[in-house]
Amino acid sequence: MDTEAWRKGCDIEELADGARLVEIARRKVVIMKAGDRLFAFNDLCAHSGGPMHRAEVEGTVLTCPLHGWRFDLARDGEELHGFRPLAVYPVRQSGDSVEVFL
Amino acid sequence: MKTIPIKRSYTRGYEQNRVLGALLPQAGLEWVTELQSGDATRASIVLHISCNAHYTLFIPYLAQEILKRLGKSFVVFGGPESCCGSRQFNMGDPDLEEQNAKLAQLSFARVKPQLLVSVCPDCDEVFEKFRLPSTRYEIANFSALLPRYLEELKPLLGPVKRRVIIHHHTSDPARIADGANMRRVLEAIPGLEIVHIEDRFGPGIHCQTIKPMPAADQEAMFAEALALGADTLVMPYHSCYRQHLKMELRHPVEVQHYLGLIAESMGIVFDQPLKKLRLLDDLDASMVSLRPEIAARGYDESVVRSFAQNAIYL
Repeated sequence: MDTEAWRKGCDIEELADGARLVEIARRKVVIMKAGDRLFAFNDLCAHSGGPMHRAEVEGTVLTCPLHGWRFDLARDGEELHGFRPLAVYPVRQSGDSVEVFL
Repeated sequence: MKTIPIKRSYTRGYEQNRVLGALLPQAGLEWVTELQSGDATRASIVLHISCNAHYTLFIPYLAQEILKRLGKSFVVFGGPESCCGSRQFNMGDPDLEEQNAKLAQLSFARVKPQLLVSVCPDCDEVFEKFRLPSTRYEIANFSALLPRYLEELKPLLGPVKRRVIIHHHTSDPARIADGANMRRVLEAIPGLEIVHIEDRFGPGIHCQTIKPMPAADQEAMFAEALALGADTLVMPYHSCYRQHLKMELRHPVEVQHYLGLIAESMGIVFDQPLKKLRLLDDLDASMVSLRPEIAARGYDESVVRSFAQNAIYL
């Protein structure tokens, strides 16, 4: 397994029109901007691996399109009905880049 | 948990299932939302609860209780967590429909069942459509299960003094078979008088949202029931039950799911909270009765109101 480090995910301007699905350290990661905040999370839903880049987004709440598990990114990916949380990753802007700690 | 207002979407439907399922519970229903592999969890039958059956949880509860009394090895599983994919299909997303159908089948396979039974015709149809070659279990509607165990079931059936008309669907061979299976089991109930009619079937594979029975046909069905002296209209599916039960407000004919009649015959007690709310015929009054539980669960009342409007007062 690779050592964890800050790794480039995308350019900040790529988030202007929504989220980006990228591959970082062999993982599919979605990077998203909600308001002024950046978020990075696993593309696989914690329930059955549904495609979170196709989630319905309302503010910081994501709803998986397969079975409707709802994750709040502002609460570390907590599932609103008490199911397993979504894996979220530390993310930061560095210059024009967005970096994810993975 | 807190409900958060959400836009109209297919995932909104799952939220509606979960929230109303929590507010309209059926005591004694023992079900899980995930199945684990391993010898300890093996079951010969998976009783799958569909998403929209969450509004009428007495139906899977009665299926559970019947299986218990028959001494079968089974597990009750499902809800939105094992959605068949019909919701995605209805929203025009066949890729996710297929993905969901296959994921659900893989989930069922974890307990190595011989049989998967559902109470929902949509689920039956989608699972057959995307049947995984690797799955070895049979897929059937619960109504198909009962005739197989009829000789075991008969000693458990007590008399029911009702004169009933059976509502059914004839859109495809599977629905016709469901109707025939339901009738065969009902015919085994002592004292139950089944009035034969020719054409009071519903459109589509079930009633309610996608293809509701037209109001004029619905009226004619109840008028005919009255004219023939029937006291009960028997429904094959939860969706038919939901569409027609409001007719009890205007006609002295009870609307009941067929498992409700079998339960009555077996002395199984059950609740029908959705019917109670619908027969209040007042959404405001329904919300008043739900309010304590809404508060206890931290739900947003305006969200629950919109769910109740959609699912109960449609």
